[in-house]
Amino acid sequence: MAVLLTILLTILKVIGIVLLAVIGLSLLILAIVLFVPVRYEVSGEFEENKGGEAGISWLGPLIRIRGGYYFGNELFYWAKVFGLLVYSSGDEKTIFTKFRDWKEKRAKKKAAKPAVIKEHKEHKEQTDTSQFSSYAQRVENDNNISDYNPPGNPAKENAGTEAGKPDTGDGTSGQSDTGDEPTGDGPAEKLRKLIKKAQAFAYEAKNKTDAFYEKVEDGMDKIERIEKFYYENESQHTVQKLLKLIKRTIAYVMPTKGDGYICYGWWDPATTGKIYGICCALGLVVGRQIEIIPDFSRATFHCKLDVKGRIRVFYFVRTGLVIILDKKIRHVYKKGKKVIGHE
Amino acid sequence: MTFADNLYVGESIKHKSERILSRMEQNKFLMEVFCITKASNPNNLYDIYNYLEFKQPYYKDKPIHILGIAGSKQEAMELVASMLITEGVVS
Repeated sequence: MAVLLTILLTILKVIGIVLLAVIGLSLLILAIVLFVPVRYEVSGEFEENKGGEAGISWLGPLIRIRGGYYFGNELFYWAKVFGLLVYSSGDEKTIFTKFRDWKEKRAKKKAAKPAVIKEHKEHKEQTDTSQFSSYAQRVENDNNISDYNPPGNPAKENAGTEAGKPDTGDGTSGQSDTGDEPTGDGPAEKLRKLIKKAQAFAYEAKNKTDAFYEKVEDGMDKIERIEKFYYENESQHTVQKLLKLIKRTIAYVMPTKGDGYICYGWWDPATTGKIYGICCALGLVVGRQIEIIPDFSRATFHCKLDVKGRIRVFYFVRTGLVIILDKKIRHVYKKGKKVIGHE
Repeated sequence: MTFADNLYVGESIKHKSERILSRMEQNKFLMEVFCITKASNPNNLYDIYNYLEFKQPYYKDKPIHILGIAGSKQEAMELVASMLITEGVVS
């Protein structure tokens, strides 16, 4: 009995350890995905060399993507996973091409060994193509048979005679030009046809304009409905909240480290001053690592920038939860769907 | 916005008059509709307005009595002429 209990407890212990290990591993992976930031880097210069490059990396060397362009050179980009090249714009061999080469080499090696099997295969291919050619021949023969027109078949006879004759549009396509029937192509007839055409065109244009007007009117109704919906109290609360979230997200995504300078000058010093004023008002000048230098003496632009930032998935998950769990936002979303007409 | 019992409707919009009238009653947007009303100036006979003019806030609380509707300004003028003849103002 005691032995059985010991065995049972040992089994339970092992199951518990395995379960804990699985749960721990899942939590670890979840934590890594949520909290390890995606790092980005953008650098560029507009001096002697003109161009820039940008890169993204996650978990150090685990995933790295980089691309850029320098004036006069070709666009370049590459992606690496665990340090192995997965995708590249250059001539470097990626892991897939290496694998393909290896497969081809192996296939060649295999093919070189049994000569007897190869010969047999060639023979089989030859018989296959001969079968195909006989089938093609048969299809051709069938087509020739279908072209054959028996003398008692009036439909085919007519089709043969009318083929290639242009349709005049007034039902005279079947008339012969030999002069047995009146053609009716006098100037009065032509004028009548022209008037008819013009009337038809005017009618169509009017219909189209009416349809367009109706569309515009419906569109304006929609805009009016949305405007009314936008100015409702509940919608205003949601808009304010979403705007706040967007602002916070932009601030979060913005680079945390930066280095470099931007020197610019307009042909008109007043415009240079105005732009500098806007930069000051936006808080881009004071206390920033990137220096903005206005040049009032000439029209110029040169810069050198290197910025870095990081984004955590957790932030977006949290923001998503804030939006989803807000009752008012959900209500406004449902109402908005109805207003727009998606429901 | 009220409509005359004997409302005059232009030929070009006769086929969609019901839609136009219902939209006008609901104060909704309409393109290319001209309205004939009694003249605001007592020296005149009738006024022709583009319907969109009535969407302005000034007309929000003003009573508007519409005598006729037309699809263009030209048609509205022709409609006024026919109204004058029908109502015996001009022979």
